[in-house]
Amino acid sequence: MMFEDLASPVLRKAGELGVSFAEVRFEDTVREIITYVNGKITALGVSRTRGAGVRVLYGGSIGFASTSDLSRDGLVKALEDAVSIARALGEGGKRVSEPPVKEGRFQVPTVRKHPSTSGLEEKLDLVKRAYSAAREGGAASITTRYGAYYGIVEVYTTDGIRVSAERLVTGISASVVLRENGKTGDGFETYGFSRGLEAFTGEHSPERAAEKALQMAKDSLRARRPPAGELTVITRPELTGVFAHESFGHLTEGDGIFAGTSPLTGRLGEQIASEAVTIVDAGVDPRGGYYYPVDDEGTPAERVVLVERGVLKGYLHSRESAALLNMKPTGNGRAQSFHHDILVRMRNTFFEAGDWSEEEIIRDTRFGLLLDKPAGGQVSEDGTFTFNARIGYIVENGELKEPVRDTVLAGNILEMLKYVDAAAKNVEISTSPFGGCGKWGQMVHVGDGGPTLRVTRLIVGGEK
Amino acid sequence: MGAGVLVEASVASLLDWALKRARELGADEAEVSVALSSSRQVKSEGTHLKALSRRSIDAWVRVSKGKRFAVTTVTSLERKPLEEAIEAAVTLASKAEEDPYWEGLPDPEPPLHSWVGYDQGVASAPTSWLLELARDLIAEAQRRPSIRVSATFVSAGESEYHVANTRGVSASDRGTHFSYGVELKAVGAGEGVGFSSVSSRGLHVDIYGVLERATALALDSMRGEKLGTVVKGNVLFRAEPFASLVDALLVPALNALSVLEGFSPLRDKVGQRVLGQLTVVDDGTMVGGLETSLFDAEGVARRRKVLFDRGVLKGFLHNTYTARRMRCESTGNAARVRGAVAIARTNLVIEGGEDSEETLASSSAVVVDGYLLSVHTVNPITGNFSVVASNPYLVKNGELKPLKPVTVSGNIYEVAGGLRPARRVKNTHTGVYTPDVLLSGLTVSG
Repeated sequence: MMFEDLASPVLRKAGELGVSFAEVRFEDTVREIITYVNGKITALGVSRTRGAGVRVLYGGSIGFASTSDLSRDGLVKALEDAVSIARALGEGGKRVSEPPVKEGRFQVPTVRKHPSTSGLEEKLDLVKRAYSAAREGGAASITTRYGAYYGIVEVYTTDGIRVSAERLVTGISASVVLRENGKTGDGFETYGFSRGLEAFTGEHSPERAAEKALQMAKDSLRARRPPAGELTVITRPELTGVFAHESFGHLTEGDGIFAGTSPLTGRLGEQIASEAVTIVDAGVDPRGGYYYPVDDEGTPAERVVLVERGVLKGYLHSRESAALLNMKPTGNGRAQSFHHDILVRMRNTFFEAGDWSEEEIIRDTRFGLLLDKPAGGQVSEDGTFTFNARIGYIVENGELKEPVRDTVLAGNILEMLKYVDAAAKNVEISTSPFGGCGKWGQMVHVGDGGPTLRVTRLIVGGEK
Repeated sequence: MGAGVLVEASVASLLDWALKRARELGADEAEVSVALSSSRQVKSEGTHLKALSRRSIDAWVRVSKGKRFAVTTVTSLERKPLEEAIEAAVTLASKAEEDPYWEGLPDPEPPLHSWVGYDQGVASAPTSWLLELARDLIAEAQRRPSIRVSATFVSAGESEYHVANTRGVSASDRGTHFSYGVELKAVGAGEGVGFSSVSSRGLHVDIYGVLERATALALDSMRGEKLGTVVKGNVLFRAEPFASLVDALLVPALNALSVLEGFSPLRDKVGQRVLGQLTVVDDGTMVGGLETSLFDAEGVARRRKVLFDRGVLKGFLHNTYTARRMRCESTGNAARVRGAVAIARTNLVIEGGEDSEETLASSSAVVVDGYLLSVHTVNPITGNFSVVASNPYLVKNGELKPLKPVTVSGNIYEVAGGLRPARRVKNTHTGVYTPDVLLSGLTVSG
């Protein structure tokens, strides 16, 4: 344990200051980035983040203070700040729930080429190979990237938690622009893993990323905007992931439940989606995503079934949200960095497999859209979820027809998920070091995924 | 913080030492900058309050060797980690590839204005007062029985920035930021949401204004009816949603690096009318502006530059690198991002037109207010957008009837000819100052 010697005196001092609970969360992490634009490096950097956040519970109120000063005095000053602002809040009703496990070291298994021990040449090679493949494919403009986030988060508390967590996510991406007869087509591909650089071979090689981006851009050149209105939509696995994240994921987060503002409040046990819908949020899944076995409060990540065959089964919790609702923490207490307080966040959120194949779903569809390549999404607390697909095809009489592009999809969680009528077997779960999920000003890496899925009614933001 | 003057001398000598050390380690040129900030925030999840305090240090090193460069950062001002960062930057730069366009770091220049957005009232506002404001926001919001509080926040912070390079740039600046906001949910026959916030450099408090807007949006949205059809026609964007559309769709296309590398649809359009009659200015010198400062991240003086003059594209947003590549002057828009000096807007001002908001609303099929969900997913490479409006209204017989959220789609450049700005320019509290703007020929469904 890297920071134990620093934590002990702070926790002792916390006892002297009369807090009922104190936690010191240390972080020592690194972010690496290489951006290669049209054959030139436009970003090359390594950023190290090192510091601590102190959370205290005083008189039922939470205070949190952060510092990059890891001297004893610096940490005690942060503790005193946290106590002082918690006292200013006066009597409150907050608690933290009992953790299921108190000690552990959680490491990422079997990393062969860890970014911290791999040379710049090897990382540059990844972006250059993707660039070369895209250029040979005729792209007019090309951006390729390599990124990595890795390091240690350690948590120590007055109720006995001593947990060390290793974090790792690596990725490459290719974005291309094609031009033809005055038209512009764009495409991208990203591969992300909680693995070393050995991950970027074969089906996940830089050349493959470039090929996929080029194919998407070629479709995009020929694509028109889709028709607008309520349509049948088939989402491919990567897009299904954003659908899971935005539709059910956010609204099962415990802070919206204890505030009573999520439309899923008080609905445990209710049938709120069709029987084809099973959604899970897990810290670890063998099919991929972000390896996240323990959260930033030191709680091991439980596999939470949110919806099982259409029935709402669970919520996501931090120690704070679980205590407010007399439930168990699920390992969903996360913070962007040591400077940030714990929020309830997803880890890897995905629809589970059904028994269709993607081909069967397409063949079975009379008219609709097959959509892919998410550009992101968002949800609001009235249950409106949205997500955007960059590319897709019109489906007519069971066959793929002309391509469509830049499509927003929307629906209300309590209405539209009843219209999911088919899920395929092809579950894929992905993650990325280049982005993540934003909430209240904090960005964290997540994974998401699922199979090819059909929804018989979604609002499509196309053009008339 | 609260001790800017006291630490200034020691930061200056630290930067001086770091630059010398970079040269000793083999850098041809070096730039070192330090951002120090502290903030206090009271926020609520639902009605449960929490108090936060942050002191942050970010040190940034950019070095070049020949035409190779690299960037490293650390969260410390101690010499050992800073020296490690300098060493790492020099090593990375040695192994990097040459950029034939690299012409080095900026040269020193004095600031072009003198307004410093620093308010001692914000810097010294105690947590107990922030707490009082948050409690007032919650209590006042709850006076209406159908309103629930999703979240509130009140935040006060100060920051200082120092940058120096081996060409003699030595620039410092400081500022304060104060903000508060509330997200509400209305629950009755249906459900609706409303969000409103205020951000400023000084201590300006109007919690009733924020509550009024968030409450009205939430209640209207709760009563909203489903559009139930597809409409093609005029859509009036209120200032806040229009600002977010401009930020996501237009600002990236004005980035000179995107222009140079072929990712911007504006790349060959200088001198052409591409944005109807809109006049758009990026003004880093605006007195009172949320994004005003003396210098950009490289220590280049902030400027005022016209980007579109009555729809005609006049130029792009530059840092020193892109300006030298395009043989023009930097516009003082350099910003630090991971691994590079990027380009960011400052205060973006869209000038008002001739029409009243009422005239434009009555010429529209739909009015879009609140915020745009998924606005970050628009496509700046083509100008295509397809977003969801949280708080839309149907215009019926001159009246605004609330709707449930709708999708709004189009292409900004294809509909540019029909852009009509209202007379009154509003502060959207995001650094974008814009009137309501009518866009014609959009498709709305819901």
